[in-house]
Amino acid sequence: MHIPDGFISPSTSIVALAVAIPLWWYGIKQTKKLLESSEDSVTFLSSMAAFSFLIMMINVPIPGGTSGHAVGMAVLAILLGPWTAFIAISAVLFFQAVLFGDGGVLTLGANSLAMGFVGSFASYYLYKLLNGRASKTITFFVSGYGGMVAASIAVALILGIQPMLFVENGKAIYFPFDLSVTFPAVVGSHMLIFGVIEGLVTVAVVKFFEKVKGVAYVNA
Amino acid sequence: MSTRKKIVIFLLVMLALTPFGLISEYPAWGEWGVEEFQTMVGYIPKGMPNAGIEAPIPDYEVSGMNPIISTLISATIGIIVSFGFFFALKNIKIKNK
Repeated sequence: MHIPDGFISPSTSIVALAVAIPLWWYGIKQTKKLLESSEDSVTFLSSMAAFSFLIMMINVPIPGGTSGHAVGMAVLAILLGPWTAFIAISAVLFFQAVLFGDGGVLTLGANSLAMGFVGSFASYYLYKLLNGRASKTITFFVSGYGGMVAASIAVALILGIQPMLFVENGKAIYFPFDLSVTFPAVVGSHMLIFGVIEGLVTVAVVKFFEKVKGVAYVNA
Repeated sequence: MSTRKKIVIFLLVMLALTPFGLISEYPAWGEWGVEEFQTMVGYIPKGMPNAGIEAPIPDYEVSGMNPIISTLISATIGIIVSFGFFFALKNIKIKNK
């Protein structure tokens, strides 16, 4: 789900960055509030960012010769709030791109918006919607599942519009498969497999940490 | 269990799990190299080659090192930069006050 540099046009990347920058700015201010709320919050916040980094490294193979991974978006959104989750995932994506070549530098805006913003906020609002109405297990699972599927829709859209917009002499300049391919491939695999993995990870990790001091949103 | 102990155990478990990511031989859907696009669509999209930067540890693999150890090193770097980022962010705020 990490879009590498060269897969989308520089104009797409710049539009995504232009959308992301004000959101990062607001998110950083929200995150600072959380950091100042208690002495311990920085340790917990950092460890949740590290968790997101590590879980994205665990590629799970699926039939058809591809793989994917959980992101931890719902864990972070439920335990820290969606703005801090967005900042933490964006920071992780930045380090993955510049240190390990996973994802891209110019595409950081697009990747942060998809996995960080769309994923975290979809997870958070699903959590808010279900919290108290459904069991905790169902609430956490649906939050993770829905966040992941929402993020995959964003990625499928960003990739799939490339060959519709940027073609030269009948050849795609960037990602060559359009929405009719990216939707079933990216969204389909996340609905069937990776969303379920994200849901299960969310249930396990949120239940492990929900009583931790300094946690902003859970039990709210 | 204290919060700190819980966090340490959790991160150690996560770290120990990262080498399982090596089981998958295939990249995520779409995250192919240029040769694979050549095979699939018959050409290399013009904007793809040479895009982006050269990362110091591409694909989490320290060159010439055992893949499991190199994954664990990369994961450890991931933990360090995650902590570094938020401790820095916390301190920047204090200076601004």
